[in-house]
Amino acid sequence: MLRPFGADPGGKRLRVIVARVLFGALAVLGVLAAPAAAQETTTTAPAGGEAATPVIRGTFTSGSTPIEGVTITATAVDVEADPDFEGEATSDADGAWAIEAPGPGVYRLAIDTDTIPEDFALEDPDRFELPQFRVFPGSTSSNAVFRFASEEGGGIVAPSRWERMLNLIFSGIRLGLIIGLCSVGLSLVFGTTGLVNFAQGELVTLGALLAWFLNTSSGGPQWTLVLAVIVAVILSGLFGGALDMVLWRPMVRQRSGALARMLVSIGLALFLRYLFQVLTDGSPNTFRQYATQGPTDIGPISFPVSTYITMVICAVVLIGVGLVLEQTRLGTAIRAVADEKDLAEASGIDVRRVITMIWIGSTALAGLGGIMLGINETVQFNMGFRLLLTMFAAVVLGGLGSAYGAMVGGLVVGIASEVSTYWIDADFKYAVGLAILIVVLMVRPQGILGIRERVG
Amino acid sequence: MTDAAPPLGIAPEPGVAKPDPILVARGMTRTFGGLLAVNVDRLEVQRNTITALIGPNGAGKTTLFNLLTGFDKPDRGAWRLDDHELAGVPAYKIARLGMVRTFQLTKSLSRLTVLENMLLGASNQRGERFLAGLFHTWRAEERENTKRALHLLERFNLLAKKDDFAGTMSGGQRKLLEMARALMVDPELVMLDEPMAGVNPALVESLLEHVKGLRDEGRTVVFVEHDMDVVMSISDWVVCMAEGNVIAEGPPSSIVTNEAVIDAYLGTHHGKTTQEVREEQP
Amino acid sequence: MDWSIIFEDGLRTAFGIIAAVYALTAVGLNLQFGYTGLMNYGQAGFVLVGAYGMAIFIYEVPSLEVGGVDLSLPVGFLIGCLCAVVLGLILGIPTLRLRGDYLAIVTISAAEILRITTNSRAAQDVTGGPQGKRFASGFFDVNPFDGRFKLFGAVAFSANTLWVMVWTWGLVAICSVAMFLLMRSPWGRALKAVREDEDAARALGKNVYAYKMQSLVIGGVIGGMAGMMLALSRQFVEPDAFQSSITFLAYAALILGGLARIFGPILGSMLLWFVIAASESFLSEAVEHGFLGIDNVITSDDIGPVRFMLVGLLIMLLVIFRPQGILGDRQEVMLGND
Repeated sequence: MLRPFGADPGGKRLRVIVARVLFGALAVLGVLAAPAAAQETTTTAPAGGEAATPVIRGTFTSGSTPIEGVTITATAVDVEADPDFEGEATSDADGAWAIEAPGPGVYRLAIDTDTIPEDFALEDPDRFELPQFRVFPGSTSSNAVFRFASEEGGGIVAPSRWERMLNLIFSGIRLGLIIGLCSVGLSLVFGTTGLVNFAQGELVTLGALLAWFLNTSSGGPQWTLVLAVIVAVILSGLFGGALDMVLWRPMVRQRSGALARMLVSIGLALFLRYLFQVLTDGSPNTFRQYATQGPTDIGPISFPVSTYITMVICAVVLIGVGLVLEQTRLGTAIRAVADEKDLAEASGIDVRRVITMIWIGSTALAGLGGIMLGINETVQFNMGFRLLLTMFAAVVLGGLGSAYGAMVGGLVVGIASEVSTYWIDADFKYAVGLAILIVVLMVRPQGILGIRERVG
Repeated sequence: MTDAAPPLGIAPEPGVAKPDPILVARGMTRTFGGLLAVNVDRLEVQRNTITALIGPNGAGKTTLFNLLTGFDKPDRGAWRLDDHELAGVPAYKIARLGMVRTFQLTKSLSRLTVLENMLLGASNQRGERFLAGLFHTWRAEERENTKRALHLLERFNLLAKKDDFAGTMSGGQRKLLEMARALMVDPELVMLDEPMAGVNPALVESLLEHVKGLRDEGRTVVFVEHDMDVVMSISDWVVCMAEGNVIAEGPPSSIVTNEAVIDAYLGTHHGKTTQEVREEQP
Repeated sequence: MDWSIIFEDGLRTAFGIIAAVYALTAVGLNLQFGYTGLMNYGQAGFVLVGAYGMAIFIYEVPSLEVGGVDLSLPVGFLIGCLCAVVLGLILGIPTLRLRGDYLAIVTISAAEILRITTNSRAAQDVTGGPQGKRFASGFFDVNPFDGRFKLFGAVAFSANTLWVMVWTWGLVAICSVAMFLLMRSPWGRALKAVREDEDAARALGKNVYAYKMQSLVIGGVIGGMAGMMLALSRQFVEPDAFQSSITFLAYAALILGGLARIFGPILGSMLLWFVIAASESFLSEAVEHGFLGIDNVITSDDIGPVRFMLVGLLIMLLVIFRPQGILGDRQEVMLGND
């Protein structure tokens, strides 16, 4: 039973192997080192200098009458370029105003209602602010609409409340699909190996950084996005497989408990995250092809085309994952290993190989999720870490160990987080997902799709 | 000490009432996702006897153990230990009331020493409360408990191991330790879940003596066992379960001839040696 | 390259406030994780509520004269402890009956929610929001020290730093003595039994839930005290000071020193911070003087992240090659993996 390390031939091997993984990790990531050096001069002008600083603009009118002299302020809510930004503008004779924003992100726009001339009034007095105004990466000009009652009487037909709600739900589905993609692997790995992988966030970041390097970085090959994404996803998957072979598998062989592996994943997460920071100088970046893109309307829903595309990709890939799990031999093997490892082993399944495949698949999916997130927002060294707790929430909500649970949980958390901003401050967006998690654990500890455990 | 003769004059039929029952269970059911794992209409355990609980795999023996000891909750049903109704009572309180169990997969506390394992069993320790623990007002009681623990360790031939981590012991020694530890609680009713499983045959004999010793000092024993030789040699009464139900009970001699038991249980193992039967157990 | 500067920087940090604060945080974690097996990954949350609880109270009630004595600070300290107790109860009630991983995820989530909340504009009136909250506690008014003090004849501390150090290391000492007494008592034995196997403890009549709750709350209060000392040392609280990295660094300190060892957290924290400070000092010296051409690889901006990379590497290597830390017993640690 007991094997003191010294007497164990595997011990020396583990040492060699760990040394190898660290060098291996460095080597794989070393690909990124080149841009880090080359990039130093360019990062101040994101996306190769194509995008100028965005401008938030609008026109205050009542019917067709311009309203002059109304003051509006923009405050950064979630803006990486300048988290403390505050800007102000006053509408001119044409009712037009413009505020130069420091970069993409979420701003709170508010009209100083005291400055509205007496003859005019807002259509809905409560709508003097847009607490969640989003400036999309790459857009040079974002239009903010405030509706004033026109004197001719009656309100303008503007069901803006449900429009806004609809857009929030849509945005929630977008976030939910991405979370689902990122966390399917987290759930599968837990289900098959018992590891709560705190480094999952960094696997998400890795994919996005690789794709960004291949596509956009001035030090990279500047491939088209599709090619860059495919190669990045493959490289991510290989990295996951390598991690399993040189780190997790030897640890399991060493009889390291799930807890020891969890602690190692924390160490790995710290190491990778700050390695990414060193390699990228920590600044946020956007993908080249999405440097200039305004929103496109589909009915009342208004998002950039890239959002629609990423959502379709996420949905298709998630369905694909479901099909693989249900329809293929590998899928059956994965489910068998997750269900009852010893039984699977006894019935001739090569458990080690299946687990390596799961690592490859999980890391590839996480990488793809990271790329989708990067296209929708920005690519940064801590983007995955910021999503980590939300992923945990999704996975636990859906039921630990269940791939579908992660998808369902992701959607629940994503929609809840986005929709919550309708009522409460956007600051609390991510807190909402976590709060739901705590509540669900109290009511239904096995998660939405989980099965109640047998006790004793 | 009363003579523990097999109870006479009790009809060997399922759910039969017994004189001076220590444990009475009524209408207990437990389902796992549609599968009825336990469905016991009535079961009584007579005080100061050794009762064997037998039945083929999946008969619900361990689940019934879990229900009775509070480690699992029945869908419905009531059961009592002496005068204490136990439905809804948490496991640790059931243990304090005098029903202490062991586990099929031995639960030794690996990183506590053997002696610490034993001392943990003692009930009502002042020193287990935070403030008393902090201010060390527990020395006297600890001395008493240590004396009792050493005595029990000697009885179970574990004295030499007292300062070793429990995790370093063999499977059989762990079984012994678990039984000795349960005795530290000073229970009325000892519930042993497969006490002989995985035990070196050389140790089985001494384990059997220990179980009989429990009855001889006035305790009641219920144990789950697959080895029919063991069941026949030490039990006063045998309860046979199949598919969640109690299908037969009676003295060992009546059980071996019982049609229902032969059908449900002996039939599956008929003609095999006990060694073969034991090897089939996980 | 001045190697003595590097060594002095390491020593200064190893004995300084930050190491003491982390030692205290890790003492709490040691009780929860080392002795009871509770995966509290939200210790940063306890540190936060302790600090904010006290800071907000002192800010709102800057003086509380009772019989000519200003009790604002001591009462604030008690309030901070109380906040940690409440957080422990809130977290423990839903999760301590569930399996261990859930506690890990819920605690880290709760710590993050707390940080987001204190950082939000909505709570600005109470917490000061992202700008933080400055408070005047009178802690340094009663500082008996004066001038500068030298440790080992070389490493100098200011009087105020020394005053905070005395209190923080004092608390570390008090808590460690309490741990020493508790862990030799039947109470400590029951906690360890819960760590080893909950069901076995339950079968022997131990109220597992109550023990886990006590451990979570007491360990949390110790973390809260660490937060209060951190806040007192700066007379200021801000959300960014309570990132989840506090929890992970405290775990690193704990594992480095040795789990379930009384001196583990203390030794671990001192060593961890010696390594962090000395490596930071080394890197900045090396970059400045072009030592071994290191200035070609990293810039001075990279020193902060490289430091954390080293911590991550340290955690990984320790868990893999020396899971028992400096003070632990290998056999005991390996038995825990079964």
